Amino acid sequence: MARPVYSSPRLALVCLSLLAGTSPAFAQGGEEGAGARETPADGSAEAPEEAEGKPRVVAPELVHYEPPVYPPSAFEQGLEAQVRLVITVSETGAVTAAEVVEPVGHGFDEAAEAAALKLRFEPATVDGVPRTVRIGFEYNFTIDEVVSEEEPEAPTLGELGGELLVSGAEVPLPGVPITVTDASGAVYRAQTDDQGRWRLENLPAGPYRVEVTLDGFAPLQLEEDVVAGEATDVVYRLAPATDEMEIVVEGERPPREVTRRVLQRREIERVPGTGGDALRSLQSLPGVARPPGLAGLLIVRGSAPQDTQTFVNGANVPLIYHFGGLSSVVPTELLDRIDFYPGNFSVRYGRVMGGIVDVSLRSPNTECYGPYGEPLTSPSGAPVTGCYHGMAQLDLIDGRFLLQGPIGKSKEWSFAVAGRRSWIDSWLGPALEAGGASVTSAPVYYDYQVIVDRNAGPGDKLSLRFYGSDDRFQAVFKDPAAQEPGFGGNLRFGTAFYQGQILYQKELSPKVTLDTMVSVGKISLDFGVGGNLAFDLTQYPIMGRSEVGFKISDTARWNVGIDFLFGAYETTVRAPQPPRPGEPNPGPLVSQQPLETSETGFAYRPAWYTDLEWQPTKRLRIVPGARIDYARDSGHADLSPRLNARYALVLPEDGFWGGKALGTTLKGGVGLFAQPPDYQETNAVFGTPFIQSNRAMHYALGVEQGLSEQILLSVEGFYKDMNNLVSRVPGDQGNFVYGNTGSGKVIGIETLLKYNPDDRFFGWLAYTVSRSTRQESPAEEERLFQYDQTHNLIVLGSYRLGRGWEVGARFRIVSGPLQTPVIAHPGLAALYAADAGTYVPLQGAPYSERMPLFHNLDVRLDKRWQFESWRLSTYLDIQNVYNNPATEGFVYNYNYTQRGYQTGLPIIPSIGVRGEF
Amino acid sequence: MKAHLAWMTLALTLPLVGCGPELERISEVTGLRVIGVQKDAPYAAPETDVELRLLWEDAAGDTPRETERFWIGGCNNPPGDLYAGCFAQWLEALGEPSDGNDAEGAPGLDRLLAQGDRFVTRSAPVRDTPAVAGQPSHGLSIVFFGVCAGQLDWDGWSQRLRRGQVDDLGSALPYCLDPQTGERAAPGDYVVGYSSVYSYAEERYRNANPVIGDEEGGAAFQVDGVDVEVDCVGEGCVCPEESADGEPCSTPFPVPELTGCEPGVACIDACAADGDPSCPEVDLRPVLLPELNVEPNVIAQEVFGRDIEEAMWISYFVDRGALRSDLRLLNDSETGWNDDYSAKFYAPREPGPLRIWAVVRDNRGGASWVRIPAYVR
Repeated sequence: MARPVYSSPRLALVCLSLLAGTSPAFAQGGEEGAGARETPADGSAEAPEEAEGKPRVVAPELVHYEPPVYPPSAFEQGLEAQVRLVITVSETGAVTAAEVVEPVGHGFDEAAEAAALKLRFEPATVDGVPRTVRIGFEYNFTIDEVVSEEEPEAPTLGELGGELLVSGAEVPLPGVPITVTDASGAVYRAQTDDQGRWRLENLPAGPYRVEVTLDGFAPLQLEEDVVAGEATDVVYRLAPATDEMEIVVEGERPPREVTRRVLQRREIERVPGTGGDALRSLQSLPGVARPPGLAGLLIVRGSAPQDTQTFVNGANVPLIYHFGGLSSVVPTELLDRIDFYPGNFSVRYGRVMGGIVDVSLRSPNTECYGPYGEPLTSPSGAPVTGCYHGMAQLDLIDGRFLLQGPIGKSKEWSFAVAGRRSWIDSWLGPALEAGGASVTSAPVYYDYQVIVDRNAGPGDKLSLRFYGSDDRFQAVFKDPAAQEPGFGGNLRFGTAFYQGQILYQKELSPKVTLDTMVSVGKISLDFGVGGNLAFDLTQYPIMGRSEVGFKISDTARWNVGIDFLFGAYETTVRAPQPPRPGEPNPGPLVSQQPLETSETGFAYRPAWYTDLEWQPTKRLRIVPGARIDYARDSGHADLSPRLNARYALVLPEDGFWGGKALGTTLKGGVGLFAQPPDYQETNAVFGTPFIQSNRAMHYALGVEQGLSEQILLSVEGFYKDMNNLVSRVPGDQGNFVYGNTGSGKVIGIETLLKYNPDDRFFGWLAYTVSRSTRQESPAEEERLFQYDQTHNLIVLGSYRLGRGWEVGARFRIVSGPLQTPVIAHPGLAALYAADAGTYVPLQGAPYSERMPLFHNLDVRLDKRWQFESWRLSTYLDIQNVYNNPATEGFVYNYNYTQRGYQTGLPIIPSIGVRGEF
Repeated sequence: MKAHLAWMTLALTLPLVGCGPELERISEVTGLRVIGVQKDAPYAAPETDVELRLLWEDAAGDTPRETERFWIGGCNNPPGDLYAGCFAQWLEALGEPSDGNDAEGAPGLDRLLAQGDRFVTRSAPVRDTPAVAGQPSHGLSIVFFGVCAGQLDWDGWSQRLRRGQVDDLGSALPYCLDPQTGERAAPGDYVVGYSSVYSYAEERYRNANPVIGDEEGGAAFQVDGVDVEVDCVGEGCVCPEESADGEPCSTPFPVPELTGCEPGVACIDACAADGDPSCPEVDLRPVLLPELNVEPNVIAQEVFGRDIEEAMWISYFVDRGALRSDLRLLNDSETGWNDDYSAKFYAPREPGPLRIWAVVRDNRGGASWVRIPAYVR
């Protein structure tokens, strides 16, 4: 007997395309019923939106399958067909359009279209907001000969089944589909019952791949063997995937930059030795040097810390760490991604010649989960927890919270509110008092973030953001600084900023996009010691970026944008002129008259840029561009042309590497980067007006090689040729003035061997070898730069042990920092500065002595408990496990005739507890 | 601004790192030390005579060694107000090389040099234009000085200067030679320093030295809150131009020898732990009154409208035992007077005489000191 057969109703959606997106790949529809057999679909498993690591995209889910009517004439003729359709699934889940891609005739096309229009879906969502999408869909019209109603004798059959639990909580997960695939590709399906149990009987003996996928949980994929005549029982545990949301940390993001590196949120939160701080995890990437001590400085590819700028959604922020390095001003929980460009960044960025860190705050999470991520009901049948999510965390440094969810029922509007306050004042203040200090204001910091998003549909997004940070500390130290007693003892430190920001993204037409950011805020810096060293700044910056992208053709896109910064400022500075490297130590402040200036002004630094993303062939992508910057304070404009390119030497589909889907990509870039002088360098009192911008030429050339599905090797060489650097030179009066006489070079190679996260492990090996030099003027000798770090090797990994346990470690070996030694001059090492009562060392060649090699091991242990409606987790992060304090510099006796090593902090344990729902 | 932030970050975080070995401290006078230099007019009138006084000590042996003390003046308004700019002026004062026959002496040397514990220099004229933008014009005279527990090599110094054989600051100054070997003396046997004499035309900008003692000129020092006898205060601790026998002092101005706890003398119990912090703390403090010492920073007030005062601090020294805090804040420019300016002293194990010094300085060149004879019983 013959009968028409269609494939399973489950939509094995493999590629989602938004309406403005690319052509969809195809899924198959067919017959209903658990355990039905189907041919698996091929194709990419990654949605293009997700590939950029931006929004969270959820594919539409088939909830009602409509079988087509087999055309009678075709059936009678024994004809079979495969009809491929592109269907449009609306925001309500209805199919509003169905188009046959390649007509096959014989009535199949009409039957497929008619049936497809009756399909029903759960709509696709992007960041929780329903979206209209177009997807591929297939109907297979086949005729099966039914030989017998009973299964044939199969003496080699066995069973596979078991239990599915929530990892940590050990709670059963009901209603979860289980997909089992045999060696030939045949698929068997089951679904867990109320007890989380499932079973497939009469399976041919042999190896099987079991896959379990459930929203809100990390996907599971395991190999199992079915033995003839036996029942194989397994217990699987799904780990909630809240921490699996991806944060993208990019070396440089294609296509407009040279290379790309991706770290997931799990990696960032679990890098040992960072306390889960996102920005600190950057210090484990190649090309980023280890900063001295606890300083949160970003030293990128041999550049000075001030050569690297940090943005929050495109707006520059003055500080990225509380108290110089304790923790980031933006908590990890609120990050969407971090774009990190160590060099050769696109024309979108300017005003610096080092690197760029652009932190994007996340869109509020409006997903509606059950207690364990299931969309409908909890295991006990209770109502869903809802669409609102919260988190609270407490560690040794601070406490924080996060609340987020939709505003109203439509999910068009959503919100997130977060805040953090340190509590170090409760123990550090008394400790300082016990040490003899008079604490006026114990050290405290807080930060806050408010986000309101409107997601009006594809290509139409509005986000209102307000965030800020405040650090305060004031104490009178009754033991003045030995080298500068004239400063006094009143140390005050305060930094605060807040910014209101509007982000607007709009598809003006299918070929034109608009991306705009405007930020208005206030920056306040207040630093002083005893009134004799003071730096007070109040600034009201207005920053803006607006970029319009034009799709010229399928292979070219032209971007043009403006990037401006202006605002009023008031500043008071009282300080000595810092000596330049190699300059005789001018001695303590009391033997010099301090410089002081108070002024108000208006800063104005606009820039215009344009670039072309051109992909002339499938393998080649070229991005030429140019940027013009103007700085009102220096009175100069800079033109910065840049060119980045990538060439896919081997595409995964080439099968070149032993038939494996591995790619090989060459990448490179060259570009000019200009950095205006710092404000004080053009100030009439502290600096020299009208000096020009620092300039650097960046060259980069590298290769990326996939070694397996999980492992990627990236090797990149870079060279920076700096000139026109602002340097201090002798002036007409014999004093020092600023001029553009400096130059420098940085050359290095970065290597990254990375194991991308799977359900158990992630890790990488990063090694950078580099040399950074500077020359104050052509007449002076080239010397090593203060932040030069020849070798930097980092090996880290983290492994999930199961039952909520995870353990990780990071090992680092880094060249020691450079120091300027005191001259080992026979008979005299220092001068006695009688007016201060202290000694002034006679210094040798600047940064000519390197401290011993730094090495240490950090270990992190995490444990998570899953309860019915919330999750509890805790961590122990131990820095410097084997207590090998870093050598940060020299300490000297009072007259510099004896010296020893100043060492860093010993073993530092840190612990934290977090609850979230 | 970014560079400032980087400096601020380093300034904040570097103190958080760090431990290091215990090294010799300036307050423990176990060898040759310059305790302080005092000017009779810290901020002087331009082109007037200013006397500088040197307080030093040599505790390397049981008795002080023969030393040479020198002063080098003749440096007025150096470029950038930097002491490194003085060397060119010295060379100019020394005159041109004399037919390569430099070994016979340096004809200009007398114009620069003086010996002894006191030196009178002429304050510099005020510059025509301010050396520091935005501030009142000032003059600056920088005076170098040194104490050598050996023999100073003046000829070698003048030759190096004239021949341009000055590779660094160390070779721009006279060498102190070991008289036995002719080699350069150990760094601990030679102290070289400098002092700045600022001059202002406006009298209101001038400064006075700190005043140690009460208003009646009585009590000047307290040990554990009790007034004790002082050996000398300020200028009185410095060797006069000539001693009673008509020769300049070659050893520190003598301290009365104590053989026991005499009346009025600070008497401190010995501690078996020998200066360890486990010993009982002995409170040391000179008597200082804010009404006699605190002065406004007139320039900061007038020019920048900043209502700040002088910063003042105290350096303590002992020749035995140990100090917990040897540098103490006395007056902060912003928060004012700090009455908790005592140093804590841990007594040595061995009984016998003990010397204590306290030097009070302000950040406008003022300095004064007091010396205490004490006895450890």
